[in-house]
Amino acid sequence: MRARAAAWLHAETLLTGGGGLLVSALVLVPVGMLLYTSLRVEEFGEAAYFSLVKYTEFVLSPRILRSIANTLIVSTGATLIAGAFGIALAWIHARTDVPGRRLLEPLTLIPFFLSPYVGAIAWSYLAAPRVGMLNGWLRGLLGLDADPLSVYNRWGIVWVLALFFTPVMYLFVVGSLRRMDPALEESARTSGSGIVETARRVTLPLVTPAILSGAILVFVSSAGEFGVPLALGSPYKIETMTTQIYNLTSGSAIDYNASAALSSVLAALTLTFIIIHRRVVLPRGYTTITGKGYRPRLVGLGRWRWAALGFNLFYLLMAVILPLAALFLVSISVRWEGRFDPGALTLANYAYVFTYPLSARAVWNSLKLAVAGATISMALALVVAYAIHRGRGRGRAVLDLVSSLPVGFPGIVLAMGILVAYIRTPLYSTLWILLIGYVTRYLPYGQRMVSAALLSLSPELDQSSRTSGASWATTLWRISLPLLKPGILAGWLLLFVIFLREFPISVLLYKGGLEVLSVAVWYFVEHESAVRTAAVAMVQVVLLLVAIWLFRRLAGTDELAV
Amino acid sequence: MRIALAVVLAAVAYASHGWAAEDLAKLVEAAKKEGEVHYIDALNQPKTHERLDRAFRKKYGLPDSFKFTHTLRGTGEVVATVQQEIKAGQHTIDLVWVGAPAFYKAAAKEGALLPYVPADWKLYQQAVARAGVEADPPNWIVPAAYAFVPVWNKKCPGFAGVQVRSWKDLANPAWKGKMIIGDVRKSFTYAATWAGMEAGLGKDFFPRFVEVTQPAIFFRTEESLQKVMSCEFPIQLWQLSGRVYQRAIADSTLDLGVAWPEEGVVMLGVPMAILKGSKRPNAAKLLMEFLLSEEGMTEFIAGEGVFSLREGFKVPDAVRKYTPEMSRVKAMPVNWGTLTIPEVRRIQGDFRKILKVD
Repeated sequence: MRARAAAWLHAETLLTGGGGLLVSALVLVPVGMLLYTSLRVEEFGEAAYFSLVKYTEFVLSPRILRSIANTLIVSTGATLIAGAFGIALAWIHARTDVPGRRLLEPLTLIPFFLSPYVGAIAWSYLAAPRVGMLNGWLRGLLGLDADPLSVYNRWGIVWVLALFFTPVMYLFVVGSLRRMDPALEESARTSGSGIVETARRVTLPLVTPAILSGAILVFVSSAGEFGVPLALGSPYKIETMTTQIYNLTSGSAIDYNASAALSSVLAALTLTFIIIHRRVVLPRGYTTITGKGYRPRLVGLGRWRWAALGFNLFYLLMAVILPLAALFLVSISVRWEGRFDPGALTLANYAYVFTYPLSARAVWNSLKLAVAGATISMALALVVAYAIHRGRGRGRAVLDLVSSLPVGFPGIVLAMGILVAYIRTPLYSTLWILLIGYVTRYLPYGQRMVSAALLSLSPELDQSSRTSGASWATTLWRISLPLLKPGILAGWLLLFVIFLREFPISVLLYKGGLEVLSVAVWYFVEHESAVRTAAVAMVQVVLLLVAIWLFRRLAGTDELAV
Repeated sequence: MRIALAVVLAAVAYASHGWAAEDLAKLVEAAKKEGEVHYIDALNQPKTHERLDRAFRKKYGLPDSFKFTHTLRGTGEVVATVQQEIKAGQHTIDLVWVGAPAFYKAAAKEGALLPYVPADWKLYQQAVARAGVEADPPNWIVPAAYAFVPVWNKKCPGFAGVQVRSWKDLANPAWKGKMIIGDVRKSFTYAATWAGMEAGLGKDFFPRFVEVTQPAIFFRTEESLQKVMSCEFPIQLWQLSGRVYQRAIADSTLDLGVAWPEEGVVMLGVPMAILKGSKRPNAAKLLMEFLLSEEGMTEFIAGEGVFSLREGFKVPDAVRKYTPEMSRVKAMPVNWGTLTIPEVRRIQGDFRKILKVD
């Protein structure tokens, strides 16, 4: 009995057990409250009661079924296009002699770090009917009467989602290509197969698990994306599940119970795909994919390498250059009427953004939350990763499952759960509730970084230290942590960037005075002019680009490899 | 008998002065001790709040340490936020000021409003009755009103010579794909306007208008006015004349048309109430006193350009160019008594059906 008590009081047990319990509470409380709220009917001024009516009547109503259909359509479309871009770019970078590879690769990843909502706003400046910059240019160039482009439809949503989620697919496939033994491909080419045939019959099948993993993650991310359909769909009669969830918490006909029911359905959809990924895709073994890195012989494309470069540049033009240029040009304009006027430029919009209390406050709140959130997340991630991969407790598998659950919950769904869970607590209407939302949703990202670093460390190092008489705490502090530092730092920086641009959780949980950058952008869209909106969006973009540069300097691209 | 009558008259006099009205000096001191007041509304732009802030502090000698906080959200979001706080018993907001009578009725029924009548309310009662807007003192009062009117950008191609005399002029096939309508699904005030116009113009007005113009749907008046100014959507069915006034003040090169159709407009009162759960009730009462005072109303109207319901209030010339004197505006009647939350939901269902939107 005493020995058992001593074991429980051991620092390792306390820390990992306590951390595990905290993470489980963080995840399970809002999920539980979400389900609970979805089974209630609570009208203002009336007595509340339990009922399935929000599922049977509301979720199954034609308009909600249409939003479910829209969600499936845009997610599928985004996955297909992001897949095409991502696989092609990954192959070009990992396998060919395309010029400028070293520079192209980090540039290709920029959209991963930027806000899709800001991207949607930028694309509205480019391709809105009548006032889009590209429309004006194409009308003049081709002598057209009608606008050739419109971003305010399902295709526009699919296009912007695809551009911003291409790096996800890219990362999965390029990592897989780099870990692949090139002997099979070289054998195929030696036997007379051309580049395309080798790629089609040898390379692609071998990276299929990576493609499936990327596709599932892109699909789930697209289904859960809120900012893009909010900007490009909702005002033009296209609602998705995420915009409907938001409408039910912010319009004049608020209905938290219906919002919770729809959130639960969306969570069930995305979780299903995550479970398929973990159970079906991940365990598929291909003995040619190993933990070693290879340096395959690059495929010489000849003249086609310029086409490959052109394709990469086309992606960068669409995903990075045009949107950022549009934002910048609008942000330095006196007023926006669809045409850039070099004779009417100003920096007054930036002056307004930096002196307007809301946006100035938003920058400060974002930085505070990003620093605190990344620090707390990585501390918890370390504890959880240690418990799962080095611990001896019986709940490791459960902890592994619970701590990765948030990946399957779109941000707005989890935010809904957190809102109903904490609305009656002192945390409501404080930055703490935002912090809880951020940490809960994005902990798996940090945990993945730490887990990857931990798994690459031999347990023998810990064992040697313990055998030599060092305590668990000393071993952790003096042996493990220094070796894990690069992974922890990479995770911290990644989370810092993600928190700086976080939107769905922020817009649902913020209150006046607690605005963050993404909320400031949204506020400016709703209440300010286009030129000031572009200015505040540029401020967010610049902060993110600085953070990305820091990330690359300190962590390197390899830390993003999957 | 005479004594009883005197007592009744005194009670009425006290009640009409404000049965919750207290000695102003004591109220100011109590508000200063509370140190802060937070109001939420759907109208006041940041510049208007700055004007109110300066005048509020000056009128009552409030120190710099006194926090005067304002949250601006859409009508529906204001209601959602306040309802959320009432349900949760968590009150960060002291005073709510939004055009949603149905919400106030429900909140009053729930006992969520603090009864209070400011001293100057007596100067508003006649205009409130004339405008046909609903008030329920001491639960909630209505010091101002606005109406949604057609607005267009004369500088957009094809819109230079546009004249709108009747609401029916807006169902113009030439404006197909160029029109904006407010999002009735998200706003009580749009829903009330829809109801009033349907009653005044006939049930076939909106189906015909939508069929002919295929309008885009925007919620925030500022955002939709931006679309009009950029010519992305050169004309909109419902906009606040006060927003046009604000833009014109900021940019004299703008050339926006505003119409006050001959059939009249739906006059929307903007009720105001203090929340019972407010942690700063005295500061909230003082704010209400200020907003109804001559100084407060002057700053508010100069900022927002809407209708003041204060008797004898002199509308600034710059505002009158866009928002005429109330006496010159024909009001479409609205049966406010029937505009309950379930009725608003029915209207929103009609909107969805006619606009073919979810």
